[in-house]
Order: sequence, then structure tokens, then C-alpha cells
Amino acid sequence: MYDKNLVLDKIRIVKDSRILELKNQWYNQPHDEYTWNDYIEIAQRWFLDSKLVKLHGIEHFPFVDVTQGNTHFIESFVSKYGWDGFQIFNREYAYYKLMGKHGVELEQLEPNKPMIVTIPDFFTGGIRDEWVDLLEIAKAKNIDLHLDLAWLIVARDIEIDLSHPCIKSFGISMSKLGLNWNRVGLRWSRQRTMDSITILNHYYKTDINTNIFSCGVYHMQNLDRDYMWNTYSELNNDICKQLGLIQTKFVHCVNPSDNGLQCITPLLLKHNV
Amino acid sequence: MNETIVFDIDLLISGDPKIAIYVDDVFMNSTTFKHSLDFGNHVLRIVHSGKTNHTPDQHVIINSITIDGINIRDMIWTDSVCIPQYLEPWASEQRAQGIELEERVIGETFLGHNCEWQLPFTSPFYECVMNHVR
Repeated sequence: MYDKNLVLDKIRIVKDSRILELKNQWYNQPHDEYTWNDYIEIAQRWFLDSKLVKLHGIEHFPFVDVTQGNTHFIESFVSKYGWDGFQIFNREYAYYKLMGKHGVELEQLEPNKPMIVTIPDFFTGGIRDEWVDLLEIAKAKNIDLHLDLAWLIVARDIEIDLSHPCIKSFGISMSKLGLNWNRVGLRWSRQRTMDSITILNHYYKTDINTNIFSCGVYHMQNLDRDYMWNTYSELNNDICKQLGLIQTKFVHCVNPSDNGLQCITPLLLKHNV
Repeated sequence: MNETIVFDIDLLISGDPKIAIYVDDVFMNSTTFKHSLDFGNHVLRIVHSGKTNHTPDQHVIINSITIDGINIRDMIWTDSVCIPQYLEPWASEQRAQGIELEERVIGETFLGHNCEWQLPFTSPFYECVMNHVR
């Protein structure tokens, strides 16, 4: 019933008819304008409203800033620390490798050097295997952790305790919910520091591009926070069962391995009714 | 509320000066340190002492100060004040010649006299920088 040739090595986000319809409506209908302040309030509520993923200890992160997606979250961090001023794991988001930044293994982590960690990641399809040990090592080596949670938006059964003192900030964005054409997200910080997101939020919040926030709010108002798994849970189960694929925390990815996940987006789109 | 930030003070030293660094009244035993600050007003202080009439070449140069990853060169130039304690009889000799010795020197980074150098700042520090750069 399911064509195994449609299980791909290349990861594609799920842009289904509902998501394409929202995009079409955004371009063809009048919409309300939402300010920076409106967006921060609405987006915080929406991002944290998942029934499928749980973030504990959010109260330790009182400083919330708007971002233009999680690549902005990363680039703002890089503007602060420089490309050589932070560390990442091997088997990380391809963005780093594209920029010539390479990762290390757990035992190679340098003390006092901040780190970005992607959760969930595209190798385990969930919380990476090193996570518990990383928290111990980060504490021992005084490594600040900054979490790129961009893909949390299409995941389930993820629970993260953010109260660990080494976790200093995290970012979530709408992009992976088919909104990569209007990147918008939030960054939560334990304490705010000077970087490009801070500057954007400080200087430009009154004359910022409200279009991206208004569009983000429009999608939040029209998509449930857990839209992906709520929509595709049954189909995902069936595809994996029929084709003998190993499920991950991602709705659209299967078969965790050191070579990366495989993608069932074409099957989800083809068989969704 | 409070924040914990890193201070990195680069000093160039000539001779054998005594140097003490404080944030408010808290002594720091290193030129690089992490310190917790309540939101509000604070003062970074560098005290240079031990200079005598027998050590005329002794001095301390503040080469750079980085707070929370930000090199605050321009803040030093405009907001810092150095309060020298001039040695005698040198000070009296200068005044006798009609040379006025400043009691507070703004933006001084060459600490040639025994002195207390002060930089007032506020926390959260990113706001302090934003308020300074307009």
C-alpha cells in the first residue's frame, strides 16, 4: 500500500493542503496587524501550549525576545561569541558544517566554552543520547548551554527540564510548521546579554516588521500547537508498521541512525485524507 | 533580579605595583572573574598603591576591560574617573610652580600615581551599554 521508494534520505517539512491554504489566505485576505508586544504574549502561550512536549522550569527564563526564526537565534549567538567561540556536537544541524564549523564528541568538550545543542536532533530523532551526560559535564566544565528547539514544533513525547543551571537560553520557531517562508520565533533567556536579538528587540520593537509577527499570529490562531502529530499520528503509525520503519519523535522522520534520519513526508502527504 | 556576568580586565604593569580590584566593596582576586550583580547601580574600582618616590617608573595601564563580552573602551573614556593620591614632596613642588593637580581625572587609563580608578555602571549590563551608545 505504501511505496517504500517514497521514504527519502533528504528531510522535507510537511506542507500539507491546510498549511498551503493558510499561506494562500494570508496573501489574499485582509488581516489584523499585531505588534511586537502582542506577538510576544500570544506566541509564548502558543509555543508552550503543547500537550505532547513538556518544557519544565520555564520560570527560570524571564527574558523573552522575538526572533526571525532559529537561524536568527544561532546567528545572534555567533555574533556574540564568534564562530570559534562556541562548540557543538558531531552529528548536528547541517548549517554549522555548511559554514565550516565542525563538532566534537562528549569527552572532547572544552571547559568554559558555550555550546549550542539541537533538540530534537536529526540522528536520534529525539533527545540526543549524550544529553544526560552532557548536563553533568557542562556543570563540571562550566559550559553554558543554548538549546536550539526549532524542531520541537513537529515532535512529541519530549520532556526537557530547563531548570538545569547550565541551560542559559533556548529558541523555538514556527518555521518547521510549514512557515519557513515567514520565519518567526521566540528566544527565552535566563539572563539577557548583548547580541543582535537583544538589539533588535530593544531598538526596533516599535518600528519592527510587524508583517512577520502578524503572519505568525495568524498561523497560531489557525493551527493547533500539536497540529502535526494530531493530524498524522494514525498515518505515521500505519506507515511505520506496514513498511517496518522505526518511529522517532518527529512526525515526518523515521529510522534513527548515525547517518541521519529518513523522511516519510511524501507518504504523509500522499495518503493523508 | 540579578545577573551573573564575566569581567575581563587587561592591565599592563610596570614595576611592582599593588593592585586591588573591587566591584562595589567586593574584592576580586583575579583580573578575570564572574560576579553576580543585583539590578541597579554599581562601581568597578581599581586601586593602585605601593608607589613611592623611589619607584618613579611604576605604573599600571588599563589596556582593556570587557564586561559580559563587550569591550567597553568608549565607556572608559567618558564615564570613568581616576582619583589620584599624589606623593609628597612632588605634589607640593608642582603646586609651588603653579601647576594645578587634578583631583578627579576623567577617562584616564594610565595610572601613574597611587590612585583609585572608578567606573560606575548599571545592571543589567546590556541596558547600561544601550543607554551609553545612542
